[in-house]
Amino acid sequence: MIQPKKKETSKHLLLLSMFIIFFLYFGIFNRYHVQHLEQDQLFLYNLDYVKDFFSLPGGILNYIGSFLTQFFIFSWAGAFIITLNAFVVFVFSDYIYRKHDLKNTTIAFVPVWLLAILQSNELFTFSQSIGFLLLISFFSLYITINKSVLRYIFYFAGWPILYLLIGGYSVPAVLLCSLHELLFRKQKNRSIIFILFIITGALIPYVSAHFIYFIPDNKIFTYPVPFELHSYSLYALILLLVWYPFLLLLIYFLNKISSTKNRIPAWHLASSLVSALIFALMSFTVYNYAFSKKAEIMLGIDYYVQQAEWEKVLKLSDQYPGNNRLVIYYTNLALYETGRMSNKMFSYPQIGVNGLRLKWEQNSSLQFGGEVFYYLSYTNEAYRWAFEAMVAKGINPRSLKRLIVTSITNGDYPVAKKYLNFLNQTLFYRKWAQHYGTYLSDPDLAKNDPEISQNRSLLIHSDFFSNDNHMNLHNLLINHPENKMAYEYFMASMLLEKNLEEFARNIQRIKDFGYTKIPVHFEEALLFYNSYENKNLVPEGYSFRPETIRRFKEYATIYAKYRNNPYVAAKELNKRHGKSYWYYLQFINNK
Amino acid sequence: MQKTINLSYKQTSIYIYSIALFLINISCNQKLPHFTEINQNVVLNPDYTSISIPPNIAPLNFNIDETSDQYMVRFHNSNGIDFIIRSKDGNIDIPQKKWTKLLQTTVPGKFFMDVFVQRSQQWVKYNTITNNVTSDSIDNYLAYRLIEPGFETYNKMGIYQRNLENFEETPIMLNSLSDGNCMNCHTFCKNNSNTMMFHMRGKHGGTIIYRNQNLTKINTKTKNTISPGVYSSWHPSGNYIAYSTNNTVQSFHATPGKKIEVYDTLSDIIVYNTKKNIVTTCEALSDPNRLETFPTWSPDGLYLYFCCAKKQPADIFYQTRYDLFRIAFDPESCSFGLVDTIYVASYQGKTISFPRISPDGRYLLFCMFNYGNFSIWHPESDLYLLDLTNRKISKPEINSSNTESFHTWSSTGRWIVFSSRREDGLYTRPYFSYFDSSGKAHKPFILPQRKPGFYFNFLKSYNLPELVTSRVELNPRKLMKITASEPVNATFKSAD
Repeated sequence: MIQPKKKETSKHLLLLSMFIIFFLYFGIFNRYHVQHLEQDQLFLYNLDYVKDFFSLPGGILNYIGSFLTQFFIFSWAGAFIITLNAFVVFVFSDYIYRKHDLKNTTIAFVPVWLLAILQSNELFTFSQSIGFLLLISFFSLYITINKSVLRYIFYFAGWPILYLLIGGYSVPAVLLCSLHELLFRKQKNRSIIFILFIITGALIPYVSAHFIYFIPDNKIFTYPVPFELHSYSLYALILLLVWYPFLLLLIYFLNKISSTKNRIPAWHLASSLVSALIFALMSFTVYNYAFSKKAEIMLGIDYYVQQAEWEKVLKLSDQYPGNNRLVIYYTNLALYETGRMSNKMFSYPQIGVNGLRLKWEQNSSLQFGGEVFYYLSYTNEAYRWAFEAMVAKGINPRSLKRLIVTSITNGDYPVAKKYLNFLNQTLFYRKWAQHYGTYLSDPDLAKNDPEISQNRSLLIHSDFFSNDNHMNLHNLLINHPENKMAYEYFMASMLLEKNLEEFARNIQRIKDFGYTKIPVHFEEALLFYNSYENKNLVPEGYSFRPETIRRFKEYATIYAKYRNNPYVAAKELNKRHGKSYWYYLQFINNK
Repeated sequence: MQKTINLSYKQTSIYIYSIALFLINISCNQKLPHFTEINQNVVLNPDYTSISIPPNIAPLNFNIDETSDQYMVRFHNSNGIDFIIRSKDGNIDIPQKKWTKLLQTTVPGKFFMDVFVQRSQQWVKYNTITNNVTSDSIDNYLAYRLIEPGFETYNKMGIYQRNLENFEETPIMLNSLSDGNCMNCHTFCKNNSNTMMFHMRGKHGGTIIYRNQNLTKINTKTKNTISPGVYSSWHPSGNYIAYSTNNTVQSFHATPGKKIEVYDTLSDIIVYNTKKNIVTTCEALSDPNRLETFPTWSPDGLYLYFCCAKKQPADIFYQTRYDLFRIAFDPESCSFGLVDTIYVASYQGKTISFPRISPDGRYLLFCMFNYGNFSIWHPESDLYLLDLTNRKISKPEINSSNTESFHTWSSTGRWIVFSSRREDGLYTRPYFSYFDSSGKAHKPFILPQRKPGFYFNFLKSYNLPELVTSRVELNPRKLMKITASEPVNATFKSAD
């Protein structure tokens, strides 16, 4: 038999380890996810901004959530806040169970587990977790009150306020308080109270929807609970909301069939092991079913693109399993920025020209798709993507920063000033805003900013319309033949489209961009073109590397050997030449 | 004897009143600290200086755009109103009651604002600001759509109404109650809030018509027309609505200073009979080789004015320039007459949009710019005035270096409201201008807000500002059912 003190210690140690695991899960495995959440909102230190949150029930959630999410800019701080929230949920859960004669730490951990699943999904914002916390806080406070009249007053006065504050998250509180009265209190009038509680819970949202809020009928009782989640996240959400009412019913029926004493499992070695096993199982399910490694890598790549840390982009890209347009798009951008695009791009997965840009869609890609245009010095297009992202997602730091820089680049100072004003009202972007604000008061300072200076030197002077399916690279080169990135992207697009005729027509221009040698993939393409077209096209002043010629001969020999069996040819060539342009040309992305 | 007593009573009253005024002035003057006057104009944001305002406008709260420790503004007129507003941050928040009294005792006439700022314990007074309160009231409500000035994407949008006598803004319709669809082109008949319409797009597509307390939803698209109705104008009888039907495309510019080009590849004009649910048109309004758009009725309902351009190939769309025409209309038979050319803007290498005729039928206000038809994205777009009695064009002094676009007249014709991007070149704001009986448009002022910095912090544009004489008795709850319903299909009948 374990001594009581030891029992407590082992229980606490187990719990501590679980919360450490919880913290590390968000701090390490979901690091970029946490930071991404911060990028989707903006907390302004301005009282005028508060009123925007009260147009719908549950507005306070978004306000508190936005306040706390601003600290997610530091992933460890974000992980700590998420863990702290989970810990408080656990404490309240434990309290609720104890009040209903159930002392089981493992069961008290279930809501924390469900929150871990939910918060692994980037669509479940931290505001939602706050909603759940406030729900069980209310119920905890409710059951603390022993005097019935006070409890009723608390409900009838408090629940309507709770509804206004947390919207749909308050609805389970109606059920909880009603069940609590009906099943666990002995008052004679409990049936009437039960009915009155339910009526209040139905009436208040209905009345507020007709006198306070403009809200669709189908959202009166649910907003802002995100029932649009899918798969495991949706199951976890539903389970989280019904968990406590379900437990109350379970406890009540267990009470009916067994004594309290027999029902509460003692904390001994066996139960500790069972608990440890259950915790392990919870961790397993979170990691295997809720955590998305692919999404985390994508968000990581996006994070480093924003920081212009291109080597880290490529490092993460190497870890990404499979083909993903966003990853390929960012990888190609990083390859260009590290000077490796024309030498290495076929060492990475390619999906044709679609891998050079994102599709114009009114979804989350808006936030990512403008990056390439920004670096191409196609400033209006970068502005457009940033603006649309802000419209779609609401005010956010990422869009604002891009809008400010592109507006300054274009000399559109009043607009830049307007957007700077928002960042000036934040905790973590004020310094950034003050720095760029100096460019408005003294425009000459912007000349020292390398990105603005570069993009200004490549400002478009001969107008054209944006092409949503291409990149207007030809137009960019007409405006500025010296735009090296536009040239490399243009040549890359020709290679990816397998348009060697157009590629060959433009190869002579490499001398204008200071290449000391012909980039490897250009050599490969040109050797193939010359061989295929029986030409001897070599850019003036350049020559082919002997190594490339040797590789081409080897490639051709293997290809000739397996000419009649493309499958075997592809397999054999992939071993030594899978990263060459020839391999892409003949075996990848064929229509 | 009786007469003498009465006179004496009047004199006594005037005497007492004068003493009271004197005492008020003394008490007010006593509140003024010692100051020095500087011969300098103060900068107010918004610029509410030297303007003509209606006697029923909400307080013109403003910010004093000067660096200082303390601020003070004395409001006074020649009829004894005199009060002071103090501020530590430069924001002058005028109490509604004091403001109303100031305007009521001023109209018609001038009131004055003395702006004082304290620097290094010394009060300084700027040049006195003089504003004019006209005897012409403005229609009580302004209806507009609030939306981000986006390219293609939209998120939350709504059609709102603002009580111009205070700061109350209420939604007429919100797209959050109709599955986030687009809605646009709210239009009223002769500024009457009881006769209005607006379009719903996308999933709940259709035109909502509110007339005689009845709501209907109509599908104005027929197999004979290009699209559902777009730009609209109510016939003064309320029995017809003229619409353009357009195939509109958007393209995105690459050069700084230009953002979007919105243009039509096809467009015609139709007239919808609200009583018979019939859509009609005629050859002159639906010439396949020309683009007809922006219909607007003359106040007598006997002419339909519209803009029309020769259709250009897509690659030279920038050569598309619209001129102004009108076609005779017989409301009894719903038939069209002859077409008359009113103004050929294309001769000057210009194009025009949004013709709007004053209620007395004398003036036509329109936008003129370099090419195309969607003036809001053309910074060079300005408002011009056509005197229909002599067909002379003038450019009122209400324009800025940025876009001036959509505009409407008040029911009396004494006020104009128009969209302007003068603030930052991007976000559209409503401006009012007094249009006096001599045809002069006075210096415009922006729609007042409770917080002077409101517009700087507001990320939505005010689209299609329309003045209405009273509150629109609709709200999203009332409209939710009709907007979600299936529209009634209009039928087509050729007028030729």
